[in-house]
Amino acid sequence: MTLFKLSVHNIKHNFRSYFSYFISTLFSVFMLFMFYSIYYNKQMEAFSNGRVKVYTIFKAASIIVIIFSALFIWYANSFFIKSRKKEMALYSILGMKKKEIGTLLFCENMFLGILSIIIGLPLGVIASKFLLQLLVNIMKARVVVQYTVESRAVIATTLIFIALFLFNSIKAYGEYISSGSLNF
Amino acid sequence: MNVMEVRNVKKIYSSKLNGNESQALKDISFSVKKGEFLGVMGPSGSGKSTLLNVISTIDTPTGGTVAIGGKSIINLDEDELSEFRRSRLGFIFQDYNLLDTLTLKENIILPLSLARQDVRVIEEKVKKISSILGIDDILNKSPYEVSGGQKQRAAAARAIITEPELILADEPTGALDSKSSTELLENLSELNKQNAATIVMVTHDAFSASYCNRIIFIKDGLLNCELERKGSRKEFFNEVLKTLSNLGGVLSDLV
Repeated sequence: MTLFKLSVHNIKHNFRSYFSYFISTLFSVFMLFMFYSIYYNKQMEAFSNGRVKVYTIFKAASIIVIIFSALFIWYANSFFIKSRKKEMALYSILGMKKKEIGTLLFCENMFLGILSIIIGLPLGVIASKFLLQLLVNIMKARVVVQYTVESRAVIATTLIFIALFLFNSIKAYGEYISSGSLNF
Repeated sequence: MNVMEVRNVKKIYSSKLNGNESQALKDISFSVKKGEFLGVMGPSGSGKSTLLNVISTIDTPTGGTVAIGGKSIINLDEDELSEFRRSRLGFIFQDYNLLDTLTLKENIILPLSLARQDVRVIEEKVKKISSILGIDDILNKSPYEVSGGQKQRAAAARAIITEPELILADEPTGALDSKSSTELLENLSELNKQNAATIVMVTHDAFSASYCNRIIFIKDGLLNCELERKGSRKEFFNEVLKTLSNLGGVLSDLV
């Protein structure tokens, strides 16, 4: 069984213990995408065009959403790694090298991250459609909003989260490599 | 030939908070011969688990040396350490430590697959060992589908499949009922005889200990006495009980 196979196997057969981590990353992807699809919506852009205030508020809000997702995923990731200390100790006593276990953690983290992007984006598309309609209703704007899936929103969300997951996977790898004695 | 040499091992735990030090192991020396089934006994807090952790490279001693197969296992680097754990050491835990996501068979062959051994060789080894341990008909089940005794026998199979120089068992019968305990102990002594496996077992249970060839008793971090089995298991069991009551501690805690 190679490391790659083992990590896929772990995720497939032990989904319950990955579930809370997965849900939290999924939620972050979902939130950010919803935000971006409104931000990049053509009609909203036309509406906010020339109004500097609206544009800055959106810009500032997007940065806040990114910071919160990063903190949220960071915390969820640390918790997830801690809950698997015993399993890692077992791999180690069976003779797996630290580097190999670190790689296993890295692979699993990346898999889960990419999976949450793949599932989170379509969910975000559906939800943002409703959110946009709601927003228009609240603003009492007499316009019919055309919802389109904005490729810029998809690309921005994907890039930001791939960066976040990559960072967390590297962190998980690094933390394991530098950890001390085994804890059973 | 000695498989393991433990010389003047000390272990001091110091608390970072108030600088208190506690000596878990004061000065322990003993050796284990090839093919021996050694028991380590002592009241709780005597340092037997610390000793096992030091021998198994889970923990490092403060002083002294431990050599297995003539090679020191203190201060090994990362590659040597994983090589040592993979091919020269087998470990049986009190709470099995099987991976629930894998079947029993996959659990058993995990050390071999991690070492990238040939599939045919692996199959052969699994067949041989599972028939000795009597788990050949449940190999494809998950750990949560089988009893504690069967789990522990699978764990024993995982420990022995690499044919290590030394098998360490930390209270292997601690979580088992008396029937499963007896079966496991009989399996272990069978492995000990048939495969000439060297086993070191930590236990506080006199019945389990009576399956050993030799028992060392530890008290307050020091080697207290040693007992060698000469006659039958029953006689040995009574001797163990007598030694334990001489050693002090509450008897009900020991039996």
